[in-house]
Amino acid sequence: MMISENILECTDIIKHFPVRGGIWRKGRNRIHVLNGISLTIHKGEIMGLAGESGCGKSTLAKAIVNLSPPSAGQILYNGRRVSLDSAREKKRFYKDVQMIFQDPFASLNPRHKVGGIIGEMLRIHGASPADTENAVLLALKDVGLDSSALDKYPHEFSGGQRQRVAIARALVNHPKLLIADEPVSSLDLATQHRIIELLKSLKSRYDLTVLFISHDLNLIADFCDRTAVMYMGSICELISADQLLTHGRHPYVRALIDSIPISDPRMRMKKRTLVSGEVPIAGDLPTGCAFHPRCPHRFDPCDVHTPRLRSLTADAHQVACHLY
Amino acid sequence: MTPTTPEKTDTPTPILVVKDLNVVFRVKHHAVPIIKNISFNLFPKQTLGIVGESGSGKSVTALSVMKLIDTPPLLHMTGQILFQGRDLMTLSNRQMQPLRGKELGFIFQEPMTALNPVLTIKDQLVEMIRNHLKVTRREAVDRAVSLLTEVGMPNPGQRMRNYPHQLSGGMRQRAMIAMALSCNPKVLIADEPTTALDVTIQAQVLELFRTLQEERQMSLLFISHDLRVIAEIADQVMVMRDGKNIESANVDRLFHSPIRAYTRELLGLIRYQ
Repeated sequence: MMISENILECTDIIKHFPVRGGIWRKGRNRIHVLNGISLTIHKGEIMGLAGESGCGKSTLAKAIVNLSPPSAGQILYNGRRVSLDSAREKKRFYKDVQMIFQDPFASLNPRHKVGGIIGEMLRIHGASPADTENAVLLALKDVGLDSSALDKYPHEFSGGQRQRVAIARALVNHPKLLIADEPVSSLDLATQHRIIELLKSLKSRYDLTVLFISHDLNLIADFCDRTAVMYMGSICELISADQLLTHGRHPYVRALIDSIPISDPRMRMKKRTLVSGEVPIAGDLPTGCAFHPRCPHRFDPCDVHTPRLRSLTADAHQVACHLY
Repeated sequence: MTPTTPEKTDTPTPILVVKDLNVVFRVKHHAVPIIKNISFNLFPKQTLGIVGESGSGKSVTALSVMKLIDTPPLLHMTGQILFQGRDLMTLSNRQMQPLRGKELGFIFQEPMTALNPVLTIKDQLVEMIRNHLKVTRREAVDRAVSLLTEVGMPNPGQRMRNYPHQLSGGMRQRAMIAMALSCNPKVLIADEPTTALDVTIQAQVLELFRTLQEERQMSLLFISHDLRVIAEIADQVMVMRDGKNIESANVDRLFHSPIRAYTRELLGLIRYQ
């Protein structure tokens, strides 16, 4: 995977939302959710996107699939800008790029049967009823559900099974790029494990590229090839996933790693450095480095200059911090 | 004969004893047993962690101790719940009310649904304090401020005038903890109190629980689906599955030499990397 094509290139993505207030409802303030994100995803890799709630992970995912178009910046899919004015191009784009959402209770239409939910994509793209049924059955089999699921409604399934239905829906038309927005975080650990194993096997079978969004660093380290860690709408570190837990350098990334509970009661006494404070509201973005008010290592330039992502070593490890 | 460690001079009596708890729900005209013969002891100043997957009966166990299960789902409940020797099972709802919040504090998983959205944090704290303690409104407000300070709420005086939706998840959970602590409960029952929080905030809240327990000498019944969190906080652990007690042990023993296959399986899941 050293030299590979880029399936997706995001350059300087900015997304802000106006905050309307006062009796004239004027958009006076803006909440800056994405502050110039540049991210490249290579063909065939699993890119992890980590960060705490509110850092803009999901907004980035929605910007990529145009559910919520970015305010500025450029997104290239297979080297081409996707023009969503053209219905044909849009249709082709959504055939290739599919999404799995966090909450399988909200993302499946409760009034449609599972067979209809999974088959809808195929029908839209003109498959015959017989082909649709075959493909749906195959997709169900892929995710470990049997054909009896076809005529059931989403409420008849457990959370893990619904997430399987959501995966079947996303993969039924063989997309190239799968965007999975916290696909397992609403599930308990054993189910998480099973769904991740399922995604792993489907990934290699269908030669997928995956953007995997999660707040769980252990999960990302286990499942992904590379990781971007976000804080307040910027990427603060880009690192290969197997090095994340051991070689993560950005103070925020260190803090995230140190905050993970250690599954050994004997290690409890080991004093860890916890970051104080909470993520500021995105409206009042600190000057300079967004993390500096909470950072234990802040020094002179931190509150003035915004650090940019810089390569640390010859490989793809990049950190946005004045320390490095 | 001189004891080597002063703590071990007398065997402590548990503050909360649950004995043969059975809870049966009524689901579509069927009696469905939810909790099957659960027994545990909670000792003073100790933390008992209850761990299990969703649907294993952890929350129902906690709610049963508080007797907070409504009768439509609940069909019947048997066994003993001895709090300081008094059997809560025999108490009526009205007799339970003074204990809830005062002797037994409760913290829920999702503070947004547990807090009242149309009242400020101050109003909710003051209501709680004045329900249980004979104090004036002024005194209750002062107490509310000092509680919020104790749980590490930034700008407590100002923040308490906020409504729950104006607070971040971490601050809401701190407000919930302040409410649960407001009447100095002897036992604090926390049902997945960190599950909805981000990992850095979770670490802060766990640290807060440890400090509070140390300072207030409380007993803590801590429920979580996450064994890692349990490893951080519990002294004793009970592993539950399908309403049954799978394994109970000291935290060190449980993590380092689990006996039951299910416990090993759960431990395997958090160490699969």
